[in-house]
Amino acid sequence: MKRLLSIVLVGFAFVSCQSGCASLGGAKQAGFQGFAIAHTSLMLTKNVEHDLVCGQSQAPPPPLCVPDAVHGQILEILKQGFTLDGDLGRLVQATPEGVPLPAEVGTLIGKVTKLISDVLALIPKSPQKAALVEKVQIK
Amino acid sequence: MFSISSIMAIFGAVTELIQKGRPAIEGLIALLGQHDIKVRDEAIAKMLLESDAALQEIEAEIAARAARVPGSGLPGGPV
Repeated sequence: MKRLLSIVLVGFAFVSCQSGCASLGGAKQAGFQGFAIAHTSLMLTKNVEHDLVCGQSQAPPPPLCVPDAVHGQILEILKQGFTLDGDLGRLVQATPEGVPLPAEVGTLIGKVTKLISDVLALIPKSPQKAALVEKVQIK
Repeated sequence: MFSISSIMAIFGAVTELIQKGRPAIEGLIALLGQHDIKVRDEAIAKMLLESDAALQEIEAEIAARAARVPGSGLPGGPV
């Protein structure tokens, strides 16, 4: 892995920004941005991976498609990812205006990012995977 | 202040950006501005609904796969 995961950095930057970061519109706004990016990246990963499963109409031929057994592994990872994504969103939602974000926000963003990275590692190389990696900026 | 039509347009854009990827949402967030709390909180609520729906979909697929995998030991699966 040549680069650090950009979403993690964004997440920790947001958390360290805390309530006094006026340029980002406050801590809750920063938490919202972190959640929105993590959530969108997770949804995109889920949708693209689904289309790449061998046998799907849009999937490339083997060995570029995702084998059924690997898809099963990925489903388990995505299940964890969406559970954490929900926790993250609810934590941001429950954070009052004008107070620092809980440290757990950064931790959850990091965990979701790691799970996205784990999914990407299981997807065979293909133009579709390359496009996905580019969009979520995890390399 | 955002109008109802603006909010609907934003939610439409949120759905579209799922297909287009992360840079789109970053642009969208910039468009939203940083002080419209109502729009932001509604966007969080919408994404949470989306997340819960995705989780249910994944759990259903995992259950369906377990039911068809021999020796899974789960209810409904082959013995």
